[in-house]
Amino acid sequence: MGVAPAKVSQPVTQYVIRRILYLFPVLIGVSLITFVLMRMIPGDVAQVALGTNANEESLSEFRTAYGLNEPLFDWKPPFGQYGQWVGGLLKGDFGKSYYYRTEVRDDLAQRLPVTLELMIMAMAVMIVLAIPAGIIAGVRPNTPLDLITRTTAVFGLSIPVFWLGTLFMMLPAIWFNWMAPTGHISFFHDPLGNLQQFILPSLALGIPGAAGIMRLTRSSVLEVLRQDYVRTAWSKGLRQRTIVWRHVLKNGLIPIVTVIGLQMGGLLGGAVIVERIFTLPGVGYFTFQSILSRDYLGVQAVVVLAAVVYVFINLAVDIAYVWLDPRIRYV
Amino acid sequence: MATEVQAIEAWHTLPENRMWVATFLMRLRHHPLGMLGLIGVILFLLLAVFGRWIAPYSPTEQSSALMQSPTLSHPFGTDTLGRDIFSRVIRATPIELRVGLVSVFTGVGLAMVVGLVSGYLGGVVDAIMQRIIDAWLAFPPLVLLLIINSVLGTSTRSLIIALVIGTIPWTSRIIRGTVLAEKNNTYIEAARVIGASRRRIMFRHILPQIVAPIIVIISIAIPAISLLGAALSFLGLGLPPPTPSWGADVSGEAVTYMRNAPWMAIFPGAALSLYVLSFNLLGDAMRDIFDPRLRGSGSMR
Repeated sequence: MGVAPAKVSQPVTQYVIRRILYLFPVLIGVSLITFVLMRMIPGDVAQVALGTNANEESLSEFRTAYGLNEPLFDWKPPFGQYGQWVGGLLKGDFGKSYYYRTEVRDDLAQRLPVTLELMIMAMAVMIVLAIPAGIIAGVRPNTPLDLITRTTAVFGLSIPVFWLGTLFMMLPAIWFNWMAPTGHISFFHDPLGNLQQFILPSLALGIPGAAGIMRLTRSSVLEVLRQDYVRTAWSKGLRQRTIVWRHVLKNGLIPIVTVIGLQMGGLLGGAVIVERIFTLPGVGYFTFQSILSRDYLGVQAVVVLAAVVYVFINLAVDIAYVWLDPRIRYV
Repeated sequence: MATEVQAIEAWHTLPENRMWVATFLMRLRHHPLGMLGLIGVILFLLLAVFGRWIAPYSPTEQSSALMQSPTLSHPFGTDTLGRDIFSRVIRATPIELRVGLVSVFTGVGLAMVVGLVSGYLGGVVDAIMQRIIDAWLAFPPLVLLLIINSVLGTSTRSLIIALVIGTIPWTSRIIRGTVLAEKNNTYIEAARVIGASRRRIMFRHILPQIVAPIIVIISIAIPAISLLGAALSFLGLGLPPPTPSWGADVSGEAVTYMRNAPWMAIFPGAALSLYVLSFNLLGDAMRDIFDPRLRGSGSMR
């Protein structure tokens, strides 16, 4: 009789469960902080929404209509303004904008395609520019080509998005008397007009990110090239192209994909700037306007949605790591 | 993540003796780009100190020469209020430096305490602190700072507070990682055995060992936080007018009149880019020197 095999523990499952449980405090924290911070902004919502000429009667009417007189927090149902808001969120109801008098959900649904297209195109810019350059630099470190790519990358990292965006807006206007069309053009109605509109904003948003990704790709490739299995591949006489494409990239790209995924939050911040410069009616610009006009529910919706996306990408990445790389242990 | 790994590994190569500033400068000779960065940083520091004597006009002095193109008397032209852009760019230097350095040093200082306490104590304290940091990191960074600055109102002080809040979460994460790597060493055990208090172990034993990664973090944070602060000013929620600011001066009228007076947006932005570039080049060299294994690689922040 052999020794009974040691009971296989299930750290991965446990780890996944714990990570999912972590989502709750994080999302509660984000929603609470946003809720409280927005209400700490000086200024009266009703006054901002109705204008300075509004009389006391219509102001108080407005406050009652939007539930602004109710306590922020309450132990009894409906648990104050916070409880009502969270309850609505769970049912997919984001509440009504004070300023536009529209459903926040509709506002977002209308603006989301603009920001998503901007982000996807910016990511495409990053990938197309950064990954080939990073691989070339990593495969041939310390050559002139590597030096040129790296120097370009430092420059790219140092240019502020808002300045790059302003230059991209300004220079074609001065040189070619050409301006990107304003007002959103849907890709499905006019693909060419849509691309004309999005190409410069995406470049402005993507180039600084590309610089970071390029440097990461380079160091990741360098790192993998040092591994034993790559040396084995060399010694069994594989061609360099095969080694780079089949062996190095497979492992080297994992951290890069991660970082691209986690840059979503940063891209939303960049979208605030770029959409403002190019007057694109997207979520970024909406967020900015909502902060200025104390439109609590709009800002709260955007922040909570962004946090949900961030948290789930994070979770997916971490779980993928555990499954992909058995060397990673989670305690 | 990449930053974390680099920072953890950086401390292995910190010169044993305490002359590491001298050692750093010695090694910097082999980094032409890092040298360039150091020169740039020194130039900006000199500009900050002596700018008031270099700038030909007051940064807020208005004149009737509205939106004049660059000439000898106004090398960078004038803006819509007839203010000399060259003088504004120069006089913005000490303000930007103060905002950037104060925010980063305060932020990293607080992050150090958070990282040490969370990493060394572990357990419930660590779990609670890290969930707070998780929530903090889940905010889109610029949006959080925009909200905070709307709460505090636009002033230099509230910009610094917002930037400190933007610095703490990710820097404390990295510092916690280095503390975790350090705390299982034998010398920590020895200190515990002879009865050193937890505070003493954290601040007298662990802290000196993680100086190198902290320097690396600071070198990453200064350019990153400067860009963030400038973006806030660009959006009108950073430095209040009429303060000269490389971020705010690119926006507003500069955009409205960009066809007629492009110099209004070009020069402040170029100054900011050069400033951030200098700190990035110097920071890269610092990382290379403290961590030769990852030579030339950068971080994501």
